[in-house]
Amino acid sequence: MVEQITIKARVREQTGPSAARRLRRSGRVPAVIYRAGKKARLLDLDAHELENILHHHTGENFVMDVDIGEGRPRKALLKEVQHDVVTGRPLHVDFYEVSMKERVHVTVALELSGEPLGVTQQGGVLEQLLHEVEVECLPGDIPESFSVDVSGLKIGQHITVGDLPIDTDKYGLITGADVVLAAVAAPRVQEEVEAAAEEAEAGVTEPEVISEKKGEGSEAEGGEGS
Amino acid sequence: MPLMPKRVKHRKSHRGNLKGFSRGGNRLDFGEYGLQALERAWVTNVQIEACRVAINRAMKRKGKVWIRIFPDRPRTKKPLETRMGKGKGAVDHWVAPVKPGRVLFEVDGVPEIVAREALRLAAAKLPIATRFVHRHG
Repeated sequence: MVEQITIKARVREQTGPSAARRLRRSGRVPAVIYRAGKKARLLDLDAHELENILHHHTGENFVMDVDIGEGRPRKALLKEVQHDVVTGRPLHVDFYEVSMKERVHVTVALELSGEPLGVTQQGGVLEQLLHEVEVECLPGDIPESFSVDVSGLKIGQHITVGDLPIDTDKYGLITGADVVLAAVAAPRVQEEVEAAAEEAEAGVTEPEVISEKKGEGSEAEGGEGS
Repeated sequence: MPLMPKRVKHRKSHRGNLKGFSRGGNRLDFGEYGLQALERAWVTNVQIEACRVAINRAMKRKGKVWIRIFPDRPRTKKPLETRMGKGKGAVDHWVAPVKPGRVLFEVDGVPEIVAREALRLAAAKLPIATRFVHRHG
């Protein structure tokens, strides 16, 4: 479980892209806090404080105390953080107010531990097919990640979500138990790669045009006609 | 042979534009490490192929590589010493429009140091500034 974090927020009145842009320029990040059956409140946070919190946690799934200056801080789940695609800076934050007694749906990161036998002894490749699982748990029990030991896997073997060593009383799996999360595949053979390249060489050099009628020029050969 | 579509609706297309930022394909979806574009450009099929070869060689054919862009836009060129007019030129090559933020390649199954070197070599084949990205960072 992650330690308790408190973040100070201000209630904001102005909405829209221009106001949001002005806020960001002044070192604040627009945010919203909501819960079922209650009106959403518009907030803004200190960008530096938020970046520090996000930087020190691997996942973005944890419960925070949001202090908006109206009595006791509200317990809220960091539901979504929108980032700038180039700079990576947070653009907007969604807080979902939670009760510590009600179970919530969260996505938890998966971490693979150990070197599989299929990789160390047989020269295979470990493929992680799933990086997160969705679980249902109490807000106080949200883990930073689930660790899975893959050291026993040989080539052709896999591990599924159902094999995760988690406490089933605490966590209810939402992701299907038969979903494969990691597998050890056979190594790529040199001939395979060359054969694929040769196949590509022998292929057509120009794409087939769908819209052109049959027999209308050499480039449209084999076209289906419109 | 460089990448190109198998079937197209029209032989030639307009240039389009490269305004804005990458709305999709801007995060790592498959591998542990990736190469993200910081500028906008038309990346040609030959450049993508050169990157693929560089990555595979640097990774010594271990691990796995995902190419997240596809050159589906035809680019035409008129022959040399041709007067203007007389219609649009013939298709010369294919390009993938890349906007800032787009993840171009992803790799997995190799240590970070190998992935960094492979993607550094691939970045040297591209006409744009890029950066190395990884899942837990």
